[in-house]
Amino acid sequence: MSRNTDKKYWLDQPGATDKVFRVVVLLAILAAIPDILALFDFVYHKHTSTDMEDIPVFYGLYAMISFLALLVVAKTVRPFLTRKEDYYD
Amino acid sequence: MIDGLNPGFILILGALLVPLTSGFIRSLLVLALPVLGFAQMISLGLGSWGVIDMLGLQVVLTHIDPLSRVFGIIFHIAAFAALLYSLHVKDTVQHIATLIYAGSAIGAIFAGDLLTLFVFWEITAVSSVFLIWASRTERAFRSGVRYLIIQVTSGVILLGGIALYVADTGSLAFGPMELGSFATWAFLIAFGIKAAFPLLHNWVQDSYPEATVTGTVVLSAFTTKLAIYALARAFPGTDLLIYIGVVMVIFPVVFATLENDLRRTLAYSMNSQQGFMVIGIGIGTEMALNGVAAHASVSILYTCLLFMCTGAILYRTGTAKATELGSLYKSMPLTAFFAVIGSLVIVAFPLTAAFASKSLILSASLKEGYYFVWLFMLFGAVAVIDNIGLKIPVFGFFRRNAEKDPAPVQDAPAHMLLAMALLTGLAILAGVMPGAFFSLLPYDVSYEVYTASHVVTQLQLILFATLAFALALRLGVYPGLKSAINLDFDWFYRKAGKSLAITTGTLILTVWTAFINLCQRGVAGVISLAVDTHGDGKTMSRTVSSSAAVVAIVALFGVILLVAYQF
Repeated sequence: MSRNTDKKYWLDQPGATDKVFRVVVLLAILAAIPDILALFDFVYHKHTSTDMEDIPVFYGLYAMISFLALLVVAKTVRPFLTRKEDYYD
Repeated sequence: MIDGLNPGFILILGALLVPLTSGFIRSLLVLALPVLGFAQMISLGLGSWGVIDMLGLQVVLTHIDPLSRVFGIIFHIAAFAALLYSLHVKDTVQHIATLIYAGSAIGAIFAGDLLTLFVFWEITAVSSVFLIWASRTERAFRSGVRYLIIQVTSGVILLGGIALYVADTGSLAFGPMELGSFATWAFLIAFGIKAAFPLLHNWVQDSYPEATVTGTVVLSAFTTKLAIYALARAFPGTDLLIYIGVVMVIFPVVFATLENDLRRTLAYSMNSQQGFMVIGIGIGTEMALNGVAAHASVSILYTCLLFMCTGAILYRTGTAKATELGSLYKSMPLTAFFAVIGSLVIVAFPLTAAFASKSLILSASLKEGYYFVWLFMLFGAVAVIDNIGLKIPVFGFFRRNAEKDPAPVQDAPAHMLLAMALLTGLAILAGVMPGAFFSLLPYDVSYEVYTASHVVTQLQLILFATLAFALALRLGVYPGLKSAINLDFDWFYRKAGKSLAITTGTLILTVWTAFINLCQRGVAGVISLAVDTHGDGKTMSRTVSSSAAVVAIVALFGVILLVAYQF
């Protein structure tokens, strides 16, 4: 499969990952906009079942906090759990 | 079609024809069997067949109702897709095992009583282990033995429960039960083992990554979802299941985060998704049970799809470990494409099936006021976005390997890609037309999937989780993947239990040896004492002349006479 080595891939270009990151940030901001609009009762109205959901960008913040919690727990327990690949052999 | 024949039998009996065929005919046969089974199921409609009176107990060989029909449909689809995916396999054992396993799972779904359920329940256990052993490695063999022990244990507990249940109620009927008697607890544990309840779960992560490329795809579809079906039938609305489900959602995601083997990562994540279904069963409202049936179906679609993608990686590169992969999107673009779609489905992106199915369970929990349970499920949803939705595409396909990208390979074979396309198509179709999808569900519940609020909140959840993932990678705080294993609960029986058994054995041996030694010394002592007294030439064995004996006896008589006379 020599064609793979000849072909130029966008992801291989320098700075491509920065661009991907910027797009992710932009998309996250776009997803947060409706909540900001809802604060001013403009165009978009929230339908909530709990008080928590009244917090602006609740789902976004909760996702960030959850991910952080997951990372902290995973990194904390890791030293106790990790063993060599042939541990059970 | 044949009146009242359980569709599962078509696959099981069809499997017996497989050894007689080869090549194209075999491919045709294995693909035709699930289609025939499906046609049989549709032609039967709803109802009960094969009702037999046995010693006053009623056995129902085939029973189709709306709940079992949903599972029946998805099981047939999964069987077809998995067999299509494994067409290149030349191993007859695997084809037979797949067909018998899928057939018995379908048979169990359509079993009308507990005894029929038990029979199929055991056949799934025994047939599926061959898909693990088919790897033909020492590690797979050992893993398969552990798998078989655990699966058969589930069956034995189920049988014990049935015996007690018949003694209690005098009936074999399989319907909603109240948790309370020994019998019902036995059912819960038997179903719980196969559903991978917390602490009973390790067989999933132990065995699935050891099975063959195609075997894992097959395994992931049936056993755990059969257990979900059994739980949904027997224990809807049992509060305990909500709490078991919450632990089940949370516990495996930590392991999924740390895991390096992509197939094991998927196995952990699948375990977490099972938790959503168990919570739904615990809530037990019609909406929640619809959610359970829907999410079980969708979960089969995306889990199979992602196991197919990671299986294709394993098939082409010989490994599914993230640390050994890199830039595979270049040489496997189509597989990468399907993995991305599968990831979008698993994160419940709008316009995919999981967006519709997961929201049913989440909404049902809110409706019943389980706010904390809802928060835990949202946590699980975020975790799956990072563990699978981003990890599989990024670490499996798009990231450059820190050392050196592995040599380019070919994309997956055409039949594998076709199987992936089939599941992808269905997952998108169900997401685009949730109305048609929901019409297959057991209860008539009106639920609006695509509200602006729902789409916005879900996009927020996904995009901010993605942002967090990207940030963690950029800042270097994401737990780097290592070529290692992570200890789980199976440590207790694979290591602690084993060393306990060995220590106990050694102890028993020591005590026994000491006891034997002691006895031997005792016997030896008696013998040497006897030799000392009775041995050759010793006091007791010395011979004396008969005259001396007569003198002694006369003297003795003399003494007796004197004594008797005196008193």
